[in-house]
Amino acid sequence: MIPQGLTAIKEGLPYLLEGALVNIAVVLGAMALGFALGLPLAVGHVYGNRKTRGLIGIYILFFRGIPLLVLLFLFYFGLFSLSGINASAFTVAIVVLGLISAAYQSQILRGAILSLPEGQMKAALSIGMSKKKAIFFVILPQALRLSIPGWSNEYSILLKDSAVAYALGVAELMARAHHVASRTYQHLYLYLTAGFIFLLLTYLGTKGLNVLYKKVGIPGYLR
Amino acid sequence: MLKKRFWIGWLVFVFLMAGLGNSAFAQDKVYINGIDANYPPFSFIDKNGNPDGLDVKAVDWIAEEMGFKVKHQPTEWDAIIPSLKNKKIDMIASGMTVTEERKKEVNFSIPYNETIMVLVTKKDAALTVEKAKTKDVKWGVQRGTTEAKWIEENMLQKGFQFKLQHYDSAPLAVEDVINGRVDCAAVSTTTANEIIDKGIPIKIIGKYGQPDDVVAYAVRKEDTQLLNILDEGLKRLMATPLWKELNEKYGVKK
Amino acid sequence: MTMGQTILRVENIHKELGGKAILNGVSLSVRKGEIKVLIGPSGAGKSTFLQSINFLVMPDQGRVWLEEKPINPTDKKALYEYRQQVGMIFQDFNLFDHLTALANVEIGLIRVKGMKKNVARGRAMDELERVGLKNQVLQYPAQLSGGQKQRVSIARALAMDPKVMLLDEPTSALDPELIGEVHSVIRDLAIRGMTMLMVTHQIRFARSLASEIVFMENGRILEKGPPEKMLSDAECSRTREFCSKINEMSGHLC
Repeated sequence: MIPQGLTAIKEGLPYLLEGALVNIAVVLGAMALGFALGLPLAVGHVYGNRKTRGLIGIYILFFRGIPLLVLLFLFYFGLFSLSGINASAFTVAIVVLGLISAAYQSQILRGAILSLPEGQMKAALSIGMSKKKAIFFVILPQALRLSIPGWSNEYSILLKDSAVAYALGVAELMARAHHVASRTYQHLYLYLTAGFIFLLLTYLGTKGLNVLYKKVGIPGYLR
Repeated sequence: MLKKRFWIGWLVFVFLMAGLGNSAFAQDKVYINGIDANYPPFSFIDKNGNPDGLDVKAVDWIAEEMGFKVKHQPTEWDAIIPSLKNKKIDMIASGMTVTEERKKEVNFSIPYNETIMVLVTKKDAALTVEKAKTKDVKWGVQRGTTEAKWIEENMLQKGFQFKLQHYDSAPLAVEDVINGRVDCAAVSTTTANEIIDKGIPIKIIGKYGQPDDVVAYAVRKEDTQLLNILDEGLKRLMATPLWKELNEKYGVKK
Repeated sequence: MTMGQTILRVENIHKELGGKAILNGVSLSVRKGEIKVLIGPSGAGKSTFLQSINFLVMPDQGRVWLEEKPINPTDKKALYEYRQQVGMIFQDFNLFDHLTALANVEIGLIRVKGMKKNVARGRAMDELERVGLKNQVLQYPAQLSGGQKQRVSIARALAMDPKVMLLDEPTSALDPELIGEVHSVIRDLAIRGMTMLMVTHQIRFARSLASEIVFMENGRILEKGPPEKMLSDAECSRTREFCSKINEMSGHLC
């Protein structure tokens, strides 16, 4: 069995690696969309009025509370029958993961904002800054730096979640491992290979964010 | 001023991100054929990562003959009919068995093959079909298939007491026969022969009672034009010697 | 000393926090060049009072005038304008931790006053040089000692050209050996005629600098007068009692 297994891996590897690129694209897209939406959500959650905070709370509850697979099907099939928007499975995967990630990223950032001393805001106001300028120039630059370890966590979760996109027929790594296994009957070897590639991507991504964390670190400030 | 510019920039960024996935604009009309990429020999992915199989090659020939373009899109079998109805795909040419249930949802082309359902076990197993139907024997089957439904309705609900385990694909069910986690798997003779040809140590122990069915292509109810094209194409294909060659090449026995 | 016009006037400030009255109608005015020192036991409301003056804490009641112009804190633009003219020094410095000493001073000039970057840089360098930190301009707060941090924060406030400075226990978070450098900067300010309202427990420093000492307790001003009178006169019994307690704790002489 072992030689056939290795042959199957060797044959299938380029096809699997192409699939890994799909996962990477989904993760990067979702991270970016999640950040773009998560940032205003976090600011609104901390500094908004009661109504804003309430609405953001509902958003977060919704996207953290509903299973990924349900959301994927909801957006892939439900959105089409409701609105006629016929998005590709790839797009739906990015959008759904991005919307979920926005909920999580907003909480990472919110935690970072709340961890800053109250005096930072007061000092900014005391020199005549508006609250918005204070958030933009004083609070966020610090909170974003503090959020990087949280993002590293979010990245590894998103990467693994991206495998669920196979349920919509996105030809990502997991789906492709299955494809090759169906042809070669070397299931164990192919899933092992897929698992190893995921592991490698997790390692590289968290390592990269760690480098970023150190690079934007402030001497004597970030640990 | 600052905040306005900032938030406008932000919105643009968000929309760009959202639009990124949509950048593949529709050009020519290309029919999308949804396939189960884990269903050799009808449809699977070859060594180079391209769709292959009897159905893939047959549809390619028909497309050429009838003058349309086709793209084969791997789709989860579970969701393949919703995908068709939601216009994610335009047709299903992937060893689909014609059933009364499915006829309510989709239209079928003329049949081009038969499904004969059998049980397979490990090559050295002593299990017989009769024994397989007794209490606590474990069966494997692909989720969302005709056979899964038939076994459920005509055997389990009628008092048979064996256990039925569902898998994402027929190969996975057979894999677990080899692993010993299930005693036998319900697969079509085509699938069984394909697997045996690959040297996997299994054998067919016989039919378990499901009536033979025919296999055909499926299209949306309203898509009569496409249905006519496929019917005509199939007729022409089956009249050529190529059809026999293809069937032999992929080990599909008539 | 000749005193000019009234720079800052506050009247009847009330503030309740968590159902407890912190400020019970505090009124005070400071004239140009005057230095008033607020003393009193902790919990007297001194800090809250200072922060109420520039509306970092929004008073429940009370009015504030800068150079006899009433301040309306609900008019955001007027409020931001007003705060620029009222420099605030905090007990724990509150430097912006992600910025160098230089950037801490520049940021208000660029983002609030809208100065060009190079102009702001020159001005910020001047202010830092004035507080004796010419060689530390590119260091981050975490790399500075407490005394240096407080001097940066003074430079940051001075860069905005304030008409009056509010100092909230500027040396109480410092190790004893670092207090002197901050005191000497404040003394410099006094010599240059800066109008100040300062909360401190450094009674000896207060006596040497203050035009008036104001004693607060339970959200009220109990006694006030020139330092010689406040710290020796039998009439000011509460102030002297408080001072003798401070003496016992710190060994400082009143």
